[in-house]
Amino acid sequence: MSTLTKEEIDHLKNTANAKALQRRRLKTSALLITNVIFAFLILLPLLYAVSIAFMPSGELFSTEMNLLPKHPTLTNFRDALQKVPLFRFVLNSFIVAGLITIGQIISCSLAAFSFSFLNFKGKEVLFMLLMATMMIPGEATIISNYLTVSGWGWLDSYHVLIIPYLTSAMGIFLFRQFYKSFPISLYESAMIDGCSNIRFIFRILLPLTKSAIGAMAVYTFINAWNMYMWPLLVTGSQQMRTVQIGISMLNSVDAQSMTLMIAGVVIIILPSISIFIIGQKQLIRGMFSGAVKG
Amino acid sequence: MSEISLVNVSKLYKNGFYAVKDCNVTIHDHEFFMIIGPSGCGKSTTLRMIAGLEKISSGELYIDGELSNMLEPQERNLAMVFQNYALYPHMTVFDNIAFSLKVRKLPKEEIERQVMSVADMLGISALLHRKPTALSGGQRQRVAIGSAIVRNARAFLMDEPLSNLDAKLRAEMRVELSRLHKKLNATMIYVTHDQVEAMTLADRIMVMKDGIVQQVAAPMELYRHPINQFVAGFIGSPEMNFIPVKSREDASGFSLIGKNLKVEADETIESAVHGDSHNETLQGNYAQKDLILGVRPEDFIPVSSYQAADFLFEPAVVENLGNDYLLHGYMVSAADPFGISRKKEKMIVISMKRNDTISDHDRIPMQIVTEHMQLFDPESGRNLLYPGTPADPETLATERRQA
Repeated sequence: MSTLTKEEIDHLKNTANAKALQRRRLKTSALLITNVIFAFLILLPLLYAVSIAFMPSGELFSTEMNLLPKHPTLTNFRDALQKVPLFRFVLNSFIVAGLITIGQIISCSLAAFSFSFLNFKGKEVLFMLLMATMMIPGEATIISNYLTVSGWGWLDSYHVLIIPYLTSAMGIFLFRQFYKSFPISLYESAMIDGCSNIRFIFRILLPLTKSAIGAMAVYTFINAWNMYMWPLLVTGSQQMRTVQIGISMLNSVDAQSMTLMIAGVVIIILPSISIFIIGQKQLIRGMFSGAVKG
Repeated sequence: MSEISLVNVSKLYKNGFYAVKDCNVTIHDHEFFMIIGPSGCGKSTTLRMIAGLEKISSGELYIDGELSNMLEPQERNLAMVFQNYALYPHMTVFDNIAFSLKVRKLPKEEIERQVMSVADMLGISALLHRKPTALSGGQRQRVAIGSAIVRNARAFLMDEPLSNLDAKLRAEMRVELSRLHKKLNATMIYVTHDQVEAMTLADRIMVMKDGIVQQVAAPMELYRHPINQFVAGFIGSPEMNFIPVKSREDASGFSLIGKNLKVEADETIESAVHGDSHNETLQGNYAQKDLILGVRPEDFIPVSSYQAADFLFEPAVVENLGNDYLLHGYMVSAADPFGISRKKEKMIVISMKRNDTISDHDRIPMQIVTEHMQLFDPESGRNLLYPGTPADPETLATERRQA
């Protein structure tokens, strides 16, 4: 039996290593390519919308395949901003969504605190009732809500857009789930130290549940930003319209311009996309908190 | 510092389960008081009721003579150390210790002075700017203790504070706690399931089982005069040996007879068995009944002759602990030194301080130290030799209320 020399052994080793490396690279690239293809397919409508926003209106309706603008232009954006006070709408939406977000975080965290840390009679029943409200579709109550707020003379104002949404059962549920994984001994320790409930919430609970707050903030802000039915019903003047209504005002029966509308859409989705990108880590962490033991 | 009294305190859950039933005890000023028992015996519940974290279902809790059942935890001015430390993870060690002082709105300089003094006392001055996540288990425990002792609480409650530490650290912290108690001269109520902690630290120990207080006594009192078989078995490591016996009276005198054992009994035992002992609650005559003899592992003496032996000991396993040996083995009748040992019987444990090696084939003639023997009623578990009458809960309750 012949023995292998050192060079031969090294050569065999190197070939085996190279093969393994190649196999691994191939696997990674295949995975990457598949992901890119799927991401592209999912993002296609959005990317196409961005592309249309830069197209001159004549270019869109042609028989050719035109995914990218041949003569990119900013006219659509200019026209959209001129036709309707889009910045005002964006500002309105920011005020409404922002205040709703702050309000929901405060009210939901306080309610969730009571449901998870305090002991009172009927706690479980009350919580069940609260959860049951999630099963009533918004459309079912919209008329009675409208009649109520119009009776109070609240129509066409900021508070009619904000106040009905200052709390949400979903938010309370989300916070409660998060607080369930919060060590109760910290609360007990704070109580023995002489800490009041309010002080505990603001000095200990909220700083320690930042990710839940982040998740809640992103979720609430995007929902409030995308509200359509309620603002349409309760606001009338251009001063009070929010972006979602504003964008539909670009669609006039007489002069429908698809590129103009899409340009408007691209302008208004920018804030919600950026909020999502900034808060996505918090959102995902918050949504799955308590799902598995950390 | 203060005195804490529990009068007929019970904790009843909605499903009818008593976590604690009729607990009657007074914890004296400056006392290091231990509550000990197996898991689920109600010891932590008792502590939490004192702290105000758990509602008292019935009975009265007096802190410094003041009825405190309805006081909120904040109003009781007690401090507590939790098993899982309960440190605020987003605050530094300094802020953790200072938290209770800040809540009380003390001046900044005063807070700083007190925190520094506590940190010095516990040797954590160098860690004050760290967050709890950057500390080891032992350091976290020190911070938790620091947070509790920094303010002048009426009593310190500790809920198994050392159970998350490894054996070496636990021993260190035990010494530390003992030193701290002496220095602060504070009332401490300490819950543990570790009887070594209880024996080494406590001024008095309360043993609980299934929510019921079994005995409250000083460590050595519990060790030498357990009120029942449960306390006898729970206190002491290795556990007390329990050997089934019957009493016999013949020409040679009064003796206790087991399967492989014959112990000459003294007068105290004889009178206890005959039911005319000073223990008034033991009215029955145990002369014809089965009894259980309780002997601590160190209460066996090797003797030189078979004639003087109560039994022969056949070691099966020898555990060498360095300083002494633990011998696990079987009893063989001294009357039949070459008989076959009964392997099916429960092994007994003997602790011996001997310099020479012990072969596990030897049959060692053994005698039992009769003055330390205990004798239990197998049905009730009562110790027939317990000096004194087990207190009647009602009388105790009345006495405490009057006090």
